[in-house]
Amino acid sequence: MRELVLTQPGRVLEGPSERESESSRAHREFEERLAECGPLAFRVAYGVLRNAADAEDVAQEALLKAYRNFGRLREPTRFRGWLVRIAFRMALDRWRSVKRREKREAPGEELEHRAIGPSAEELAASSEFQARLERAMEELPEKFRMVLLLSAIQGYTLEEVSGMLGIPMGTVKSRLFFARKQLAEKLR
Amino acid sequence: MSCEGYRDKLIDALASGESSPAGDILAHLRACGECKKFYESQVHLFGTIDSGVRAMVNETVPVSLLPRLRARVADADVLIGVWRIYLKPLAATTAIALLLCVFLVRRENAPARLAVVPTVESPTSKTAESIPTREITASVNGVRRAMPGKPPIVHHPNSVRITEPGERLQVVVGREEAQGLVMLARNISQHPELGQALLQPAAMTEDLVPASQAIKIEDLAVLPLTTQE
Repeated sequence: MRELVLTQPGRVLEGPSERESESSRAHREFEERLAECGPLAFRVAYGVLRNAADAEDVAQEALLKAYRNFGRLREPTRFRGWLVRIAFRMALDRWRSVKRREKREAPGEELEHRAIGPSAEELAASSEFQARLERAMEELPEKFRMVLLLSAIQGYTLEEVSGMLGIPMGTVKSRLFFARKQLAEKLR
Repeated sequence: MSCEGYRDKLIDALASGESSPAGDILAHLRACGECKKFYESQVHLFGTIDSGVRAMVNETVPVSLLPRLRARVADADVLIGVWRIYLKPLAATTAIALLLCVFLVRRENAPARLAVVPTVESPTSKTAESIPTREITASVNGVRRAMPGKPPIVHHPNSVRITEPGERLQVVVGREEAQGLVMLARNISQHPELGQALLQPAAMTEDLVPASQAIKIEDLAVLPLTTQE
């Protein structure tokens, strides 16, 4: 009996050899996306966690999840949007669990996350201000925070952020406006 | 507009990313030194926020990110391959074997089949309605089974029913009773007087009435009721 594998409506792959070529094509496509989307997932996770090791773990988990669901995420914008959202959510989960663990281990203490390896920009800003900024960011609503982080990542325009998140450009701008305004109020 | 109003407008302009004030705000800033100072401090604040947020996200990506991910993807591929080649057929075979076992076990433990006695004409069929019905079964995990140690007889509430005059009477009994009832039904069909005799109440004869002696009560005093509470 011949084995038939249905991949798309109206198209049937016949036999293991064609199925294998389909699988290798998916693998190749995913590999092409990795170069762009790997750093993106890492930066989103880092924006939440401010810890390179944790952010790398989260980015890997998110990318592995994306690989498993690659069949329905081939369209580039859709893939990026999905990856960004999943990385953001996983990073938030990780951040919350880290907070809970820290609270358990050192109850009553005010704890802060510190970035590993400060960049030139971080050195320019005072560490005290940076700590206040991080706390203020944590208090922002998730949707504002996500837009703020994505728009701050180098190489991404507001249009691209709008496409990634699947929301209108006006919504991106208004979320960014409220995010910056709230941060300024907290830091003034 | 007051200075407060201009300052709110300034903050909104800076938050929305406008690079420099325009129109009436610009005119006010030229005229009001305090607001100009405030504006400069806010420009600095927003600039610091932007650079701080950029510093948060534009961290150098570790070189190990992609090689480690590729290794994990390869592991995932191997697992998928093993699943497809070995585990999937094994799982399917196990599932089929389990289903077969369940089917066989259930068939072994199934309750005895009911025997249905052929229907008979009953001249006094109305009396059948008064026959009590009961069920000697137990429900185990939702499956009705005959209780252990008791004959698997099921008297369904509908097993004795009369809907129309002259309709055939149907009796559902256990397998062991079926043979005897078939014989009885055949005999009654052949000899209707036997059926009549069976259904008629037995006449009470004098000698069957138990003899009893009259009760004698001695020293019995009957007293009036008192009104004590």
